[in-house]
Amino acid sequence: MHVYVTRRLLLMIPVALAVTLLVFLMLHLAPGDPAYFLAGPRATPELIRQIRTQYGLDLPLHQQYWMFLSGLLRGDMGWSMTRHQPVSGLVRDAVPITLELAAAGTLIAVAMGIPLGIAAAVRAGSWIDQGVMVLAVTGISIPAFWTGIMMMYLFGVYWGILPTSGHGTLAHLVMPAMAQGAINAALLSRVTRSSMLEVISQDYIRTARAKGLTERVVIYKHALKNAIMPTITVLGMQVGYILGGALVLEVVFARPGMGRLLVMGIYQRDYAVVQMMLLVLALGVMGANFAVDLIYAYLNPKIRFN
Amino acid sequence: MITVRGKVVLLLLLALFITSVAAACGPAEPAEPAEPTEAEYEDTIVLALERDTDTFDNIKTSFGAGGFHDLYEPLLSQNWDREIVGRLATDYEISDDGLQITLHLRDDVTFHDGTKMTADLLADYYRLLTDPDLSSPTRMDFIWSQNPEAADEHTLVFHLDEPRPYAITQLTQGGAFGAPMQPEVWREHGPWEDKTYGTEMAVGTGPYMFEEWIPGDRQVFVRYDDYDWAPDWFAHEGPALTERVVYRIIPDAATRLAELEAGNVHIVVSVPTEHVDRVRQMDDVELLEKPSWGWGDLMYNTSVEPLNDVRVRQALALAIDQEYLVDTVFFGLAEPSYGFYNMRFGDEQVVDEEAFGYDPERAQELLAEAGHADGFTVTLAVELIDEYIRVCEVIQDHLSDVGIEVEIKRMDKAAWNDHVASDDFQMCLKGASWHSLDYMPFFYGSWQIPYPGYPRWDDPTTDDLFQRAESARTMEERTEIYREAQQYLIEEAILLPLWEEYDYIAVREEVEGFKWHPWYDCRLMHGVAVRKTD
Repeated sequence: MHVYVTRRLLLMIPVALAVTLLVFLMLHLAPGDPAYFLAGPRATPELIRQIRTQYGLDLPLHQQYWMFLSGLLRGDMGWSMTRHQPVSGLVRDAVPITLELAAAGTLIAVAMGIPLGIAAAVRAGSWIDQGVMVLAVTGISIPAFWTGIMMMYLFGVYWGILPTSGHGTLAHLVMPAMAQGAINAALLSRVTRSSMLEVISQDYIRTARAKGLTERVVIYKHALKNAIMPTITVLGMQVGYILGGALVLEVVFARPGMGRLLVMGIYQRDYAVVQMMLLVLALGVMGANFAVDLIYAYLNPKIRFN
Repeated sequence: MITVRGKVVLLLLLALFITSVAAACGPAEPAEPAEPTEAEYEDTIVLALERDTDTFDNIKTSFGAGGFHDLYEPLLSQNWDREIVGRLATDYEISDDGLQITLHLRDDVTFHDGTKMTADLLADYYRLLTDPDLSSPTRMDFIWSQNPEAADEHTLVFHLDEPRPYAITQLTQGGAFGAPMQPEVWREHGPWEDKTYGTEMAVGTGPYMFEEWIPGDRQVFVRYDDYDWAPDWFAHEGPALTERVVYRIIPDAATRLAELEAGNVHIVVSVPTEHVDRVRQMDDVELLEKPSWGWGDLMYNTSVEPLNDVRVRQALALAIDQEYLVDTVFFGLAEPSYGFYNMRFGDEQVVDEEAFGYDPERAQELLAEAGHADGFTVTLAVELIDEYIRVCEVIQDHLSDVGIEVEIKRMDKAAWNDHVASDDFQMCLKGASWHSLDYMPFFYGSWQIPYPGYPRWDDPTTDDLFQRAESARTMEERTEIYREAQQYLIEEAILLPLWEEYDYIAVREEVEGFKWHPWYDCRLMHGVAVRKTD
């Protein structure tokens, strides 16, 4: 197990390096020159030239990449050209805001999706099953930003029981997390239901029932143990999507997280900001997939990584 | 041995823990507004902005947004009738040869850090602003101020290389444009690595002091209690009425308006035209409609075939119906434009409804005369802004009626900048927001080619007119030369004016003292207060 964990962690290094190179090339080869933004609406050819020199934008690409990489290795995330401050401070402020939304959305998705999926499978064909599946299809079909706007008007404007937008308190997190969670809950409930349906038709479940075990023990101890694996797989694969959804919801709910920083960074070609944000996102996705692999082994003793 | 259920519960608890840790690691919670007092008015006024500033350092900022005008004050100001009067300076003199501007400063002004404002400090500030090594985006506007002299403690003299009549108007701009900050504090605190000027501190002389800035979230300013030098045209003397001004950054227009409707925001300074009807239906909100400084032009690369032919450019101007465009794209909430600049320039603007009118038959005749009776194909670059794209579709439709095929190239702002600076550029849609007549030399002076002079208008007559205008002895003379330049450039049809914009400002009914200013728009909060509502 230790060998596996170490190997996986070491493998992340070349992947992260590849991500930095890919992101760097994509950004620098795309049309757009940050000097135009920095020079402002009253740019002059002289000022544009000066800014290019000042920020090293006129250096060859390999030299710029090496400056970025060597800075990163020294723990220097670079300087935001458009915000006139170190990127490390921007990352420090923005990442927790996105992370709390993604985590809360995931929590809601798991807390809603898995029990609903189990309930639908156990009572397959009943009104509960049909009701859950209608909800699931609805949840998957409606974009999170639209759910967010509707919730904003209902809970924020008309009833006034939740803050309409912004961040800072737990109350500010409720609506974006619900909007984020609803769509993922819908997906998880569908996956859990079909997985549970397959498992509860197995012989060992029939045997467990024949032994006189209570339905609760049969479902939660014997069936769920096997049925939960595909759900975890889907959850792991959803991490990138969840983070992406969080970025969109940040714009709708005016949360100053990574999403808005990333969008403005791309718009203004603030290379250092975009590079760091994408690297953080890539590391997040890699970390989540790694965590899913470890959870596999934790939940199912049959899985070993030697 | 932990059961599966136990493990699932454990994982849920772990997720809850991560959420809590992430929440706890976030930036400090924004300062809560103080408890309401028994007074009649709220202690905080909240405005919603679409876009945040880049910094509060007014040497480095590229697009100052938010509370700049209450933080930094200009040396001179414009009153409600747009007459130039004092602010940090009581009055000014221009020497007979126009090469010396003398400003008599107030002797009772202190910066927010308690330092007394002196001519020495202001001279230092203008030297920094025009220092070529600092690459200030505002430097070229204030290049005439690079030789300041403190004649005595309260007299500041600018020595100019050539007359610059517009300098006096520039000294009234304020905010992010040449309004003094405390230069000693700037030297000590930034804006370099590990320094905090512009991000965690900013020191001016205005009625509000910098308190906090959470980029992308909010700007908070607190009343400067020592402020006692408001100009006569302000509604009252002494410190500002409201203790705190908060600018919330809310990029989504629907969310801005939802916050306004919920009463969490008192003023939305920029309501997009598609939301104007909705605001009109809100019971407790007033909608102000004021002419903006914004407008839109169709610009050409005047150095490439066939756009280098004046007859072709004249034909393009006559083939597009601005009135139809305004009605369909802007729902009638803008004005068709028939001159450079916009209506807010008043007599400075030359309007020519004949040259820029709608006459497709004449357009076809002109195309035939230019040898393009069968039309031609041309590209039109546009930024990814819904309204602009719809404008381009109207242009495409109207030009197809005279045989010109338009290929619309949609791109983001950065790619748009690159495109217009390249040799591939043919036509582009340009949204402008400008306060002064130097818009034309900025884009059409040959010394600006290829960027920002991307229309590549290389014409000695035009250059001469612009240079004469900028170094004229008086404002009247400058305006007259600019009018002559406009007349000349209209004949050359160097661009097609399309629309002139209005600003739509939504204000809750409990807001008092909020007035739109003909020069400063809605940026002055000194006399604004919010009445308590239950």
